[in-house]
Amino acid sequence: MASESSSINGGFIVPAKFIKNNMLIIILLLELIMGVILSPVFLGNTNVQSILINTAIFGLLAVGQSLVMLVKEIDLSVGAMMAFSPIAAIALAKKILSASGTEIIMGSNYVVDGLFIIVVLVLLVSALIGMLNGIIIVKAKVPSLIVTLGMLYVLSGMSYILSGGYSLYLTNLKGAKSLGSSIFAGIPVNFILFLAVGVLVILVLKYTKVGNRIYSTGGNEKAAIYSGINTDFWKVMAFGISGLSAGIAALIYSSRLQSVETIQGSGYELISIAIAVIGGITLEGGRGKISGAIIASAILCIMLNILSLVGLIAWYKTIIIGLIIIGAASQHAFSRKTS
Amino acid sequence: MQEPLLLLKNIHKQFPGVKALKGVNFSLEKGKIVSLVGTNGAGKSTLSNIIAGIYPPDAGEIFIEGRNVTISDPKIAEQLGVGIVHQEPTLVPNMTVVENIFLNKEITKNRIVLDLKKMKQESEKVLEFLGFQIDVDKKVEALTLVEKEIVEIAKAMLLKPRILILDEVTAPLNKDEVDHLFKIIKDLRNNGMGIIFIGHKLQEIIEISDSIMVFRDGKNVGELIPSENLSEKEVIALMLGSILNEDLVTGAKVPDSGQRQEVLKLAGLSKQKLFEDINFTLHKGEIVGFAGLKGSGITELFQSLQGIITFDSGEMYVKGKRVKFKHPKDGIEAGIGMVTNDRQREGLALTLDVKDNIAVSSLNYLRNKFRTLNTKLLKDNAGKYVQALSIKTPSINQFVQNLSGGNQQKIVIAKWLLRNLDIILVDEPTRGVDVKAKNEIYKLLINEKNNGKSLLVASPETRELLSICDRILIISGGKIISEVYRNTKEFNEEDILNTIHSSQRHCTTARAVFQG
Repeated sequence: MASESSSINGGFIVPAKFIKNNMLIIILLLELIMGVILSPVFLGNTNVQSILINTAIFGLLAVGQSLVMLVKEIDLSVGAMMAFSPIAAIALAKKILSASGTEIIMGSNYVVDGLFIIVVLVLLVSALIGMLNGIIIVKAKVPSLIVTLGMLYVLSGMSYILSGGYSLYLTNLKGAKSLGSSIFAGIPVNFILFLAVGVLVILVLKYTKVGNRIYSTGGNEKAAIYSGINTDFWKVMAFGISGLSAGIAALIYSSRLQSVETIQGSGYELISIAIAVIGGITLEGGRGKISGAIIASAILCIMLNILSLVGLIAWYKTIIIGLIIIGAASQHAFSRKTS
Repeated sequence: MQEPLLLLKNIHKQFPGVKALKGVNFSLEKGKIVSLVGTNGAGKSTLSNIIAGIYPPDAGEIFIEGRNVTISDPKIAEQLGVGIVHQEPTLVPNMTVVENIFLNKEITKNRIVLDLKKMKQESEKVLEFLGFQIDVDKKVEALTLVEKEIVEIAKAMLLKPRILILDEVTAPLNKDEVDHLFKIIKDLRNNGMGIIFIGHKLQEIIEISDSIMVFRDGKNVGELIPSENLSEKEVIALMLGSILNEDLVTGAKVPDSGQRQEVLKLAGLSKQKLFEDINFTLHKGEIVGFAGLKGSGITELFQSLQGIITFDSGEMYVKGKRVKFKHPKDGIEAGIGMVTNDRQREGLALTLDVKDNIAVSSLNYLRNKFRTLNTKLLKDNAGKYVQALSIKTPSINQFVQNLSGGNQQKIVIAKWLLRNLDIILVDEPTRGVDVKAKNEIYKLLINEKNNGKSLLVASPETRELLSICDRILIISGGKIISEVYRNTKEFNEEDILNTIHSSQRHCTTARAVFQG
């Protein structure tokens, strides 16, 4: 019945519909064209790699954030997690390894050993704290906005206490450099890692039961519960994955800069929400695609890159980001109404 | 003797403030269709939700084919062979038909990857069995009301349950679709399924059931076996029970037909899909009742009279002046206030205290010479109404969330009285209010009428309208289908319910249900 309306003027509507359905890809392509026109160094090796690495970091945060938003929650702790998880992992690794006589910190703040165990601990700590967010939210029935806001402050404070406010340097850490700057076929390995994570999430959501759990939990929680779905469990999982992806983002960030800063990642929680929104994930839950968030992370990073290359001062950049967020959200809302 | 398919013994269930079930016994045999009937809040849906594992009973036992079972969640109900179509929509709008039908029952290859092809085939098979062709790849939000209802039924039917509960499934369907569905239901019964059917359309119930279980006030009060001799009247009589003969509060005095001042006049008022061609006139000092089933469009009509929603076409006059409100503020300024049917969500600020809730609509009139709030005036006025309406509260500083339903309801009414509006719309004046408070609220409304106010009252409880109204308009499918005046022969509960139910039988549009 509904197909009748869309077949009227078929010849005219098809391109409009095509544009609507592929809006993000089209914007991405336009940006690439703009970049090439506006700056000679845009396609340069260093610039491309810097875009890809940034996309990987923001994209990972956005994928995790998107999962949380799909179950109709929000995670404000991912930025703070990017500092806390490596700092806590190094502190833990120091404790564990010093028991067996290995000192991993030289001088006062040079990490020199224990890369493998640090990496494992980063992933563990970030996933567990993410899940802790979720557990508090479903058990205490406190809105996620509040719980994760609180967690943001707790994690930042603990990062300062554990690091004493000093940066930890990884320049003398065996393997850290190759972790941060390995390149395969001209593409940073970490970007490939991000794509792999992204594609894995997309496939799992599309081809396994998990997708239906996540989308129904956010789309109509009552319907999900009436179908016997443990929506609390899936919320905890979404927060766990959000935390974990912040941990992976932290690894990419720190291994690239060869240091761990107490303030790294601060403010990134809002950027991750912005990317998810640009990608078509809505705050109302159960709506939007992870692929949208992945493309949106590239859109944002390329936009920022172009604006820097043409020499726009920082505050104009933030205005433009703000306008993109509002524009994208309005466009998504509009296209949903008219579809 | 064969064990019954489903046997419930002495089931009790209490929700905060309400005893929903008070010792229900129920049995369902294989190959039978048992209907549950009763007024709203009689306990039908609570019972079906207990069988479906949505919530556990507080006390009582459940047996399935003689085995004592505990149905602690919907998945267990499913494994025990219970399928249910809930009264409220349980589909996820942004998911496709096949994803909804198989929600939490997905078929997988090697236990991991979804077998979409097989699920589509199965979904199509169930839909085909139900006699409907629906594109299973379509998102549910793009379906019509009828299609959505069919998908709900398909979802319940998927695992071939032994016990099928259908809670208000026919509401969005037209006569042909209902006939068609009934044929299928009868086939299922003949194949040995036990079916629990819940509905409001008594003609349908009599047609489909092998037995009718009547609920009143959280108890099953009797069983009727449909036959050619069983009339809707008998079912209604049992649904209402002794209430029919109960003394009603009547303070209503029909105003003199001579000098009646028109305060509100509607001519051809319509809103697409909600109400249509509403014509009537309300006079000063009159209470007019609106009777109709849930979803008949009365609430929406009231909302449009106050400006909460805007009507599409037609004319509305307040004291002779033509108006069309776009915002509740417009309605209030023109002298119309509405007591909504959901006081907790729409009528009160639960976290504020009694005095602030009473004063909230009148703050502009409670100012001192510096144009700031005159707290003394506010307190005096609040206190006045607390006393006048005998609102039971330790003080005017008590938070309203700590008061009982009846006292909360009085506060909502007091809010409009303080504002001194001429027309008050009251949607379900006594929902969730105990008997004593009910009578007090009736007296209060009648008192306001005698003070020259005009009231429109909607209620699912016809006897409440009978006790306070000067006349009653009967609404069905968004239209006024009849009008009865006090002191006439038709001004009684049975006749009014008969009019409502017989109109439902002929109602061939999807208009009756909009909560989906």
